[in-house]
Amino acid sequence: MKTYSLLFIICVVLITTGCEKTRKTPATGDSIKIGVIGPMSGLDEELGQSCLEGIKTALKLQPTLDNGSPIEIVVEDDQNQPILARKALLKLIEDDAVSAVVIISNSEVVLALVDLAEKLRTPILALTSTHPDITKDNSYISQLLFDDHFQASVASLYVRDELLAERVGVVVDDNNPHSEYLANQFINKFTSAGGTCTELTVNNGNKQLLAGLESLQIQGINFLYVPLVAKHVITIAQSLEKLDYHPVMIGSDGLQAMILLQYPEDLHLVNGMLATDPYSSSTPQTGYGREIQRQFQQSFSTQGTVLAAQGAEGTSIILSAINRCPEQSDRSCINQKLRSTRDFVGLLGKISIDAQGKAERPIFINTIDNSRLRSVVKVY
Amino acid sequence: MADHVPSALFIYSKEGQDYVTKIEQNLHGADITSVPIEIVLASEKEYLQNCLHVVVCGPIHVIKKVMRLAMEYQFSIGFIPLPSQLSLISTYGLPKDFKEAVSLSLRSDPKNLDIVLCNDQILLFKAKIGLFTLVDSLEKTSKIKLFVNGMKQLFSIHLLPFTIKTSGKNNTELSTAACGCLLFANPEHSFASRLIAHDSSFTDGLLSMVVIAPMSIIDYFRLMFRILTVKISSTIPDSIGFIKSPHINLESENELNVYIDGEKEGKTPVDCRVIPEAIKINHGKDLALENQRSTPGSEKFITKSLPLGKELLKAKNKRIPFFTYASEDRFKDLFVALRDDARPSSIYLVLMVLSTMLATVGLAMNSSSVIIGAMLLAPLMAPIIALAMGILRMDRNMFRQSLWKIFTGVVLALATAAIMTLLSPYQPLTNEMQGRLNPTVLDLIVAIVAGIAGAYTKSYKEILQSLAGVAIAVALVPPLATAWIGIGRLDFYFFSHAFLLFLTNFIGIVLAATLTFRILGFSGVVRDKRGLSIVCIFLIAVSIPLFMAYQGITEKAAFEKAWRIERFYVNGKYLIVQNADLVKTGRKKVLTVEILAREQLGRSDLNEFKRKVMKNFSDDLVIRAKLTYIP
Repeated sequence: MKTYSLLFIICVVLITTGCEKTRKTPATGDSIKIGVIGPMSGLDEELGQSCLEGIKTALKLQPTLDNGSPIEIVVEDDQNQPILARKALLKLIEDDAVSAVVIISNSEVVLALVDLAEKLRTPILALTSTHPDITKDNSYISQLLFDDHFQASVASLYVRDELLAERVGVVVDDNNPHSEYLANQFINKFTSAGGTCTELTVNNGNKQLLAGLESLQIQGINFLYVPLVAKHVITIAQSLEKLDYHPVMIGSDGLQAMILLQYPEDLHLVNGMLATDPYSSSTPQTGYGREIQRQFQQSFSTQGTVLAAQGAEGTSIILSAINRCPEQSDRSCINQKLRSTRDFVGLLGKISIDAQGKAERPIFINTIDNSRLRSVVKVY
Repeated sequence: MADHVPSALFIYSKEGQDYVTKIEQNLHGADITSVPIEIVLASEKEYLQNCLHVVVCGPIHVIKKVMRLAMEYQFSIGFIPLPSQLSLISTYGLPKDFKEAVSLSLRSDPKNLDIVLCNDQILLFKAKIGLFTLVDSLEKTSKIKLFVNGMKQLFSIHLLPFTIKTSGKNNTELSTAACGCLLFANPEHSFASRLIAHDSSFTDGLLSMVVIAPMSIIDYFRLMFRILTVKISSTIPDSIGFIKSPHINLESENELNVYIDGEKEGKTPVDCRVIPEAIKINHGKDLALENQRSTPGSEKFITKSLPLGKELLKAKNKRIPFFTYASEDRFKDLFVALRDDARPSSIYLVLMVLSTMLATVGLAMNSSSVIIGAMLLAPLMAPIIALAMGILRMDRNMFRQSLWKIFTGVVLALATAAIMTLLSPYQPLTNEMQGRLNPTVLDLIVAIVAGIAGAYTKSYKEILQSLAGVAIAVALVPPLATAWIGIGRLDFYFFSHAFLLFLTNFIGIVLAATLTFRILGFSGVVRDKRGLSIVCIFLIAVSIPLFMAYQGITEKAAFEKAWRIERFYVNGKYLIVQNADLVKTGRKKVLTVEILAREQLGRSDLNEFKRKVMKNFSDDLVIRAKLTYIP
């Protein structure tokens, strides 16, 4: 009898201790809203739609918070335009009372939201924009990806130290702050490592571009850094074909995905080209990565891209931050938890977000192989 | 003209009626009198008393009747075969072309041939008793059909008790069990001829018998394989007995049907004898060649594969088991050798000490060739194999002696290696030693395969020399020596891991050898179940750390592979990392990497590098970096 009593007491203690540890905020029955801003129409519609598929995939995998509250997404289209993005953000926060926002738009658009984000005190996770200034002078916008400083430096030192290039041609879009930042950082790093760079711009028309490329060919430059949008990279690739000039080209994040979505018929033009990206097709996935892929394939018939991966990963990170808050609509807490994300296991490895909102995650230098990205190196 | 008879009687049945005119109009000038068989039988004397040569055409039973009359009236015979009589054509070398057949049948130089009588019936081709589909199949049978037939019979094969008596120059009597017996005058063109060397003739005065007795399903498969693959063999397969005698008497405990030349002719017993040169026949065989191939009068009694004595008691009237049972008598030499192997001897002890010394020195020198020498010299394999047989047959004496011999050998090896290490001022940790400190499940697989090979080579004298290779594959002494070098170094980790490798090899060999001996038929069952259970428990016990170690190896391989493309961006500096090597020593995981950098790395850079590695890989790594600066 004594033994049974003792066992009973032990069980009660264990159960109550266990309950204490797993206690969560009870579900209120209200759904938690997450706002999504992105180009759902217009020129960059494919970017927004692909990313949105990833967001939906993550929500299918995790349709409720840990306390059982359902999660709802409210999507606003900004057509990748700063004015529309500002309106969308205001609407999401004031009318829809979202707990957090994920933004798919490019760096230029997100930079235009910095002051508003600070004023509205709402956590925003930028899924695709990588400009370093996005997280500068504000406490509420965080990045899912590495920033352009890291991206351009890695590309530069890879070309210099591993490909042993001494001279590189850098083609820049002066109207795009993302492109400009990458080009400048690349040039700074490359020249400080003893190399020389020749800069070209895509903004002076195709004839000028062709002449510039011909000049690089004459100079015997065999490497081109092209931190440009898909349209410009394709124009360059076509010009190089005309010139019968075959330098090694290295592009920036999301290039292959955008070509795949916007110019699939031109994908062959960039086959064999290098590009920096947060993912690679040839790297083993984590358990989470496999689940996301399985869910995506069940839900969508479209081609999965790195943009969809970013959508899924970003949403899961936001949900993880919300789950760690005792009050799940407390934006300040969500922001603080988001900016203290440690070793979140993403699709291919660990991701952390520091107190400044910058993500720490490895970058891949891949070779574009049609719809696949084969990793050449992985840089931590 | 002179080569052919001037006249002949043509005896025919209704099947041969069509040939009457053609024979009568033969080109050889022979005067032919054609008479139907019924009429000849009705007035034998009238037709045969003064007849010198008969040509016969009709079914086999008609031919046999005419042959019997030939023995009585001493006339010679020629055959006109019916197109369907392929066996007759083949057996007597008859031409398929009618004109040539007529020519041969009318020749005037008939040969005296033996006649076999079975239960007083003439045996032209073969007599069958019992089940023997495969062996009796014609060579033309497709292999697929043969295989299917063989598989159909697989689980219905019973060994039936037979008593076989022979009388001739040697009179023998044999009680055995078989699934079937095949008596024949000429085995050519059946699979029987593939299993025994062609060894029969019309003129040797002997009758041949093949006894088919697969003692297990494994034996049956081997027989099937042999039938399906071997053309003509000079050795008789294990499941086959071959008897050649002028007189064979076969009795069975159960009454069995006897089929003579395809016709059911009563039941057992069957008595078959040869009447030498009983009949004169015109045939197309090259008798000179026949006589060269066969030695007249050489009786044979090859029955070592047939179940006898205890084996017979176990086998008879039962469905054949999966594995063979063989009595100790059958493998007398092997048992004698294994008993010798189990017995401790001074030679063994001396070899053990020498091989351990060699192994210890070889390990310290990091010399593979010296260690291989020690492996070859090591005498441990033999008592381990003997131990396996002791367990299989519950031979207590062999079991105890071999276990004691192994134990003394191990202790002696341990003592030798430990003393040498203690006395040596030089105690390096070489790669050869390190290679024996991380046993995995792969080592267990090596041990199991080596155990199978060891038992197999020991069972067959012809391949005994391969035992040396087996000993090298599963080296026993070097791990022992390594273990005791660990004792000499007072390092328990060192000792335990090397000794685990030895135990792995030991247990793997014992278990695999026991089961191999079982499959090879050295015992009907594993008799010492307790002994085998203990070995199995040990096997499970060692498998756990081995499996974990194997997982560790695969993780290490995956980890090291991942590092082939890893780079680090540390405080604005680009680090190329290569040759990552992860070594687990005790609870520590030590990662050694080579870092190539263009810029000088300070402490903060290396700390940041370390932080990044631990964050992305494992936080319990001890990191060692070799720095190389690229100009």
